[in-house]
Amino acid sequence: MQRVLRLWTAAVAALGLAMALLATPSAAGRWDGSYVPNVPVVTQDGKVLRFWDDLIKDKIFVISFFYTSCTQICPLATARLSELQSTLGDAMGRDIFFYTISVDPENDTPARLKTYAEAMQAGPGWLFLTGIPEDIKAIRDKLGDRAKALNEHRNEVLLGNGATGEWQRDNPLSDLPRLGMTIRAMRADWRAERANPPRASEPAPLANTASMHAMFAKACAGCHSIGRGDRVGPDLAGVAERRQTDWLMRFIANPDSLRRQKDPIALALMHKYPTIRMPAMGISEGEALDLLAYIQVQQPKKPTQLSLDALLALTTQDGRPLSASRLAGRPLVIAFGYTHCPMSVQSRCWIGPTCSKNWARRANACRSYSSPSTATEIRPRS
Amino acid sequence: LQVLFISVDSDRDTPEVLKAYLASFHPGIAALTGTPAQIAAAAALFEAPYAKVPAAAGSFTYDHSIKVYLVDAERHRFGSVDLNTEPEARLQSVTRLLGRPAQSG
Repeated sequence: MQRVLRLWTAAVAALGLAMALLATPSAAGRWDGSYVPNVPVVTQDGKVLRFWDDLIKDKIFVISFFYTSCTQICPLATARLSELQSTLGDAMGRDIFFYTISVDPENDTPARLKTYAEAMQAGPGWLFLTGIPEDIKAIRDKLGDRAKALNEHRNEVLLGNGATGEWQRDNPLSDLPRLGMTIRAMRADWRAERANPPRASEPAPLANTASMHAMFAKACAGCHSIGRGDRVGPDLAGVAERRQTDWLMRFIANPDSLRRQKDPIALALMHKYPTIRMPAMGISEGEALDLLAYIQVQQPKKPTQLSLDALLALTTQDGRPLSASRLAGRPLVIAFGYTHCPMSVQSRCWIGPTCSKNWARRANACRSYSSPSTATEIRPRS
Repeated sequence: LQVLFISVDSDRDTPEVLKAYLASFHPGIAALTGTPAQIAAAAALFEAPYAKVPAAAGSFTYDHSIKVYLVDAERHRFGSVDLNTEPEARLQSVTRLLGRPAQSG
């Protein structure tokens, strides 16, 4: 492993040297090509790109810093970018690019970045970058991230438009729709949208759930959906039914402590989601309880169970009532019909897309057949 | 799996008639009949339309839904298939119905 690392670092270093020789100094000026280092960086796919020429110069971008072994704020901030990415849709990789740069280039190989990117469901236009340590340090220095210790790196994101030279800082943990709009506003012809922000498609949450809505959006939604499938972490629909409440409260408040205690569920989760571990989010056990209540309200309702009493009232071919035990625990297949249905007029017995003449006269009934929502308009007649 | 055939013809489909009719089909199928009100209640459960249609010489036929309704072991609706559904798709629906694991809680 160490050998492989040294090899790829050496390869990048050689490239860097070649590029340094080719580089030409540009006119002085802040945040342009003379300020932003044009050093080589390596993507999660092992592709070597020049930072200014290939990634900044003519692009609109969001830059964040992280490292794969971070267990604190990085996974949360990066997961927020994952969520932001999905709100930007087609613009990602075409108009807008994310660069998530490792501050730990000694250990973060392209392969490690790739695993992490996949766990974050990184789509087109989201590059995870590493490189030789001196080059990464040069980028960090110029972009204002000068922390010494790994876990002290900046968790702000830098938004920019390389073509216009506009750069600004923002907080990835803040309101995502607003952040998305700020990014889009980096392009002049999208600015009009900002003046007339589109109405939120989701109805505003009720006042009493508003604070939980905000907390969920900030602390959880980067990694978890409620009823829309697993993302960076598991889908939370039904979580209160799957797990004991006190376990959930403890895990949400301090996931590390349960992992250290070798709690079997915490270990199983770690095994299932090996790349990104849930960080402690500074949520108290009390707040966790409120969040769980919020999740329960938000999760899709289970389909209602049919009551089969109407079937049990019927009489079988043996002249006896249908017994409940005959239906118990079994899937059912139920057809309607009648024995005197003459085969010759069979097609007229059915109410189908090819409506019988009788039903065609009652056009409404035909429509009812094809539209389940109005099917109840037909009152069975005796 | 339990297959139920519910007659919408309470006048003519007595248990005896149904029994004779079922002799031509798989023995696991149960046929059901009842009073008009009972049948209406069963049909309403699936929103299955049907109606009596007068025919020649005081006779009558029925228009009825061609849908076959599926209900899983947990008593949730599982959609329906009908005669316009391709046979493979019908088989797939029923296979999925059988494969749906019973959920606890």
